[in-house]
Amino acid sequence: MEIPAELLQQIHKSGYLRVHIRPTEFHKARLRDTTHCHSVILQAAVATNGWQYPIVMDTVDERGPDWIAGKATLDYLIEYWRFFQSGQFVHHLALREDHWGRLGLYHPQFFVPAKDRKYLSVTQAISTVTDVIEFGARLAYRGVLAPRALVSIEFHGMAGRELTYMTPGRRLPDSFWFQDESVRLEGSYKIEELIGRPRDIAIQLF
Amino acid sequence: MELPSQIDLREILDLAVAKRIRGFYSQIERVGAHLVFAGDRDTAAFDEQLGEL
Repeated sequence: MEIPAELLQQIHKSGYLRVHIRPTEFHKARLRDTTHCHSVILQAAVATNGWQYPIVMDTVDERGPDWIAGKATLDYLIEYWRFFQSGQFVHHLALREDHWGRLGLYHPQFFVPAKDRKYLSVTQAISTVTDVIEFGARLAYRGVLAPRALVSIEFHGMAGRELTYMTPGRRLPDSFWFQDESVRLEGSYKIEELIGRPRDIAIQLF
Repeated sequence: MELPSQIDLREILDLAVAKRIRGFYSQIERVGAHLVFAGDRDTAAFDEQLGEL
């Protein structure tokens, strides 16, 4: 199976997230074919922060024997995902905060990053975790994750990264940073639970 | 004669189950079989599909 090494290298150069969602039971063709995969992911994609999660185009970027893939390489949106007929979904996405800094997109009126300092935006992180769980709930609703779903969200490149609101007027009571290079949030959910209370699950995970 | 309490009965049951499991494992060792659980098979199939991703 060909792995898009160059794109993954680009994503892994900075901080990044790896999202993994799958059912507990393996059935090779839960979804009829790759066209069915595309239709399900188009319907399940969410947007709570102005951007789609995951970013899905009307046409498939890449197609394998039993999977489809999508990618984004636009400024700070650098992502790659793959969705299998078995219902397994994996997504690597660069932390936007690092690329906002690289591209000089911080407006000094709102946020001035310190030199060589890495940041994680509180609101961006909450929004992403919420999107991931809502996306999982929508997959579950379409029968893709029965009887139980495993969800994991890994944050990589985190050691020394500071937590911040990145907006004026909102401050954390102290300075907080990550001590480990990787942080993993994970859970196993009955599909009824995932469909019924995705927001509660997102808050508990975070 | 003192009747066994509920806890005693549970202990006896646990011992009986442990003995049966020991017997089962020694039988597995004798024939040289490997235990494969359904969950492990599913995980292996998903992992194989995922490759390096």
